Amino acid sequence: METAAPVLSLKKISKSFSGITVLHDVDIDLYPGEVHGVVGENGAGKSTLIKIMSGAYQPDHGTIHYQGQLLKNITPRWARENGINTIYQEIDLIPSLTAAENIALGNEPLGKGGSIDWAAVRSQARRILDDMGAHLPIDVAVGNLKVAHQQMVAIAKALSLNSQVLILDEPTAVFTSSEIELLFNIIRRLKAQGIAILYISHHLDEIFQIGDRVTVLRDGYLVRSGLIAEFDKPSLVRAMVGREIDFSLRNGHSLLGEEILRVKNLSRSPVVEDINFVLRRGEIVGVAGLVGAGRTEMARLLVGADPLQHGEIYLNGRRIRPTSPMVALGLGIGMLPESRKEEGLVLQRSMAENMAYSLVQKSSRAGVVPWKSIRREVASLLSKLEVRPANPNLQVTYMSGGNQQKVVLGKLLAAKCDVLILDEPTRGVDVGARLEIYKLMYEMKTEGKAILMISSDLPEILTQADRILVMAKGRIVAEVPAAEASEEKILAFALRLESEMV
Amino acid sequence: MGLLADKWSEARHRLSYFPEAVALLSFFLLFVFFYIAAPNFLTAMSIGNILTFGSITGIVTIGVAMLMICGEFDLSVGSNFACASYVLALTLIAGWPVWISIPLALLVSSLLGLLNGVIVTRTQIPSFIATLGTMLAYRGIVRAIGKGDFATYKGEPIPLFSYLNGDFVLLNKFFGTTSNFRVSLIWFILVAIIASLVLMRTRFGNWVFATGGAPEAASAQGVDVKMVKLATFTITGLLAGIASILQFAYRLSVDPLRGDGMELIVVAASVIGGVRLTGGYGTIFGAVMGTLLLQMLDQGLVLMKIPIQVFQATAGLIIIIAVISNTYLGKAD
Repeated sequence: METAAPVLSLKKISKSFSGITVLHDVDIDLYPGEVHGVVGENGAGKSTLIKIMSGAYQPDHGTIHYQGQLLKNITPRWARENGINTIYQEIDLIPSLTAAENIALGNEPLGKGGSIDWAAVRSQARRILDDMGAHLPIDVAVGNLKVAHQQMVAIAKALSLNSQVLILDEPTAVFTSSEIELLFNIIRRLKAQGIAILYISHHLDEIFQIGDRVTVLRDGYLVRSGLIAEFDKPSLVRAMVGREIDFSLRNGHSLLGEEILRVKNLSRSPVVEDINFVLRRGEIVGVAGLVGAGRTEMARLLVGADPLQHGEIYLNGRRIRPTSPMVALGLGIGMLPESRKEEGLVLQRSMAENMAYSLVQKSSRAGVVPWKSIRREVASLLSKLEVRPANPNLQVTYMSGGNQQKVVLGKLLAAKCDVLILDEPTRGVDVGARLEIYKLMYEMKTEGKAILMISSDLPEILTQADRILVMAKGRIVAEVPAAEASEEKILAFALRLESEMV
Repeated sequence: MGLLADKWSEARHRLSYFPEAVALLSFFLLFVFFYIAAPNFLTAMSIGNILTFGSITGIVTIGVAMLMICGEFDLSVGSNFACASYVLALTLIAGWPVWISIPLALLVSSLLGLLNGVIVTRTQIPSFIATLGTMLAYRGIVRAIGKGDFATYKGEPIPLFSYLNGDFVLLNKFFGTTSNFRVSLIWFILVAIIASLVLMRTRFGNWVFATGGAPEAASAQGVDVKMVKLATFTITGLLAGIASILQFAYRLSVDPLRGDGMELIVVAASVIGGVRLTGGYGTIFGAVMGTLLLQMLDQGLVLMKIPIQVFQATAGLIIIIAVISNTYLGKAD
C-alpha cells in the first residue's frame, strides 16, 4: 500500500435534514489506486455521504479536499467534469441510445464542418471498453443490454471524462456471480490505473474480496475505519450493529390464536424462491433482510400484485388464488405498499374519500353505494386513528407522511382485513406518528388480526415483531422468535454469515 | 416449428431497429392496392399531386417529428401555419415589400414555437396540454388579425413566388402534366436533407435524441435539456412558417381555417413513420414516408371516388396498426 496523499479527503463532515442529523463529523480519505469499502445498515448515512462527494448535497460542516485543493460548494456538474463520478444503482444512461453514443454524449468528437465524427465516437467507446476489459456490443441501444453491461457503459462514460474518483453505489445488487467477477476484474484494472474507488455494498464478502480499506457507518457516525486486513467478518458485523434500541417500545406479549394464513413453496424466480411460512391470529411477524432480498416481491405475490410462478396460499385453511390486490382485499388480505404515494393513496382526494374507496368495495349492494353508513364508519375510523388535523375533507396531499400512513392503515381497517401486510410502515414517518402506528398495530393484533411487517429498521423489527423471518437472496434463511433475536444475529443471517458467526 | 419461431424472433429483433420498416411496408402494400383498385392511380398527374400536397404537410411533419423525438408535442402547428400566411398576406396587401413580409412571417412562426417551448420548460406542464392551449389561442389570434375573413393577395405578381412554389416546368414538361409538379417539392427535399443532417450529424441532433430518450439522464450527462427543447420548439414553429409561405406562394390566399386539423395529420404521419410517441427515437426518412403514405391514401381514395370520411377512418386504422406493430417490434429483445 503506497502512502500517497489522498486524492479526495473529507474531514468532519456533518449533514442534517429538517433537524435530523444524518451524518456526524465523518472523516473519509480516498487514495489513488485503492478501493475503499463503506458498509453500514440501511439508514446509516452511506447515501448521504456519496451525495456530498458528488456535489448533490452540501455539507453543513466540514471540509472537502480534492487533489490537494479545498473545495467549496461543489455542484454535480463540477464534480463530474473534474473527475469525481458516481455510478448510481439506477444507471444514468439514455436507453434509446447505443453504448457508443452514451459514452460520447455531451463530449461528442467533432469532425470536419462541426459534424459529429461517428467513427471517432465508436473507436473511443471501443478503446475505453477494451482498456476496461469489458466486451459488449457498442452499437446496440443500451436499454437492450443486461444491467451489468449497462453499468460497464456507465463506468466507461466516467472514464471518458478522465475520472479520478469513482463511486460505486451497490454495484452488484442485481448481478449474477459471474457478472460480479467481471466487475471485479474491471475494478482491478482501474486500480492499476491509479483511480480511487469508493465501493458501497451490503455484501461483506465483496468488501473483503476487492477492498483495501473499509469504513463502517452507523446512525450517521463513523464507527471504525481502517485497512481491510484489520477486520474479519464478525468484527465488521459487530461494528455495524449496536444501534440504540428502546425496548420500552416492545409491542406487548404474543397473543397467539389459530392459524390464518399458510404459504407453501411460493416462488417467482429469481427474486422469490420457495417461501414457506404460517401466520397466526394475534401475532406480528417481522420480515427482515437487506434491500433486494426479495421481501417486497414476496409480499406482492401474496396479494396477487405479481403473478405466482409456483406455490399455494391458504387462508383459513382454504386455498386462495388472489389475482390482484383488489381481489386479495376482498378476501381479507390487505397490503400497505412501500411507496404509499404511488400505490396506496389518491392524493388529490380527501382522506374520507380515500377510506371510503375500500368501504365502497365492501358494502355496495347491486352497485348502489350506501353513502350514509360509509360516512358514519369513516368518522369512527378517523377518531380511532387520531389523524391530525382531524378534518375528513382535507386533501391527503396536504398531510404529513405519518398521517398519510395512518390514512392508508385506515383504508385497510375499513376493508376489515384479517391479514395485513405492512411494507415499511414507518418509513419517512416522524417519531410521534411512528408510536401511534405501533399502537394501531398492537390494537389490530389484539383484535385477532395477523400482521406481516416488512421493515429495514432492525430496532423496529426487534421491538414490534413476535417472530422474525429473515430473507436473503429471495429465500427465507432463518426464523427467529423475538425473545431470542438480537440485531447482530438477524444481520448475520441477512448477510448469510451464520456459519461464520455462531 | 421451433426453428421458424427462432427465425421470426430474430427478424423481429432486427426489425426493431428500423421502425420505418412498418411505414415502408405499408406504403408498398397501399401502393399496390391502389395500383390495382384505383383508376388512373399510377399516372404522372396523381403522383404529382401526392408529392405537391405532401411537400407542404411534409415540411410541418419534419418539425413535429423532431419535436416528438425530443419528447414533446406541438398541437399548435396548424394555427401557427395559418398565422404565418396571414402575416404574409396582410403585409403584402398593405403594400410591404416581400423581402420584409416573408422574414416577418417566419419570425412570427418561430416566436410562436419558442413561446410553446418557454411555457413547457418553465411550467413543466405536458406539452400536449400546453400546445392544446396555444393551438386555440393562436387560432384566435389568426381570426382576430384576419377579421375572420379570407385574405387574398391581388397585387402585382411576385417573381420570388415562382421560386418558392411555382410550376416545376422541367417535370411537368417531361411527364406532360399541366402544373401538378411544383417547386415546393425541391424545398421539401432540401428541408428533409438538412433536418436529417442536423439530427444525425450534429451535437444538437444527438442531444435531441438524448433529451427525448431520458431527460434526467441526459441532463446528468451535461446536456442542457431546456435549451435543446426550446430550440426544437422554435424549429418546429419555423418549419410550420416555411410550409405556410410555400403554400401561400401558390394559392395567394388564406382562410381562417387554414391548417385546421393539420396538427393531428402530422403527428399521425410521424407515428406511422416510426417516430416513438414517448420520444428518443425516430427518423426524418420515416416521417417523410408517413406523410407520403397519408397523402397517397387521400389521393387513392379520391380516385376511387370514395367519400372523405373513409380517408379519416382508414388513416385512423393505419395509425393504430402502425403503432401496434412498432410497439410489438420494439418489445423484441
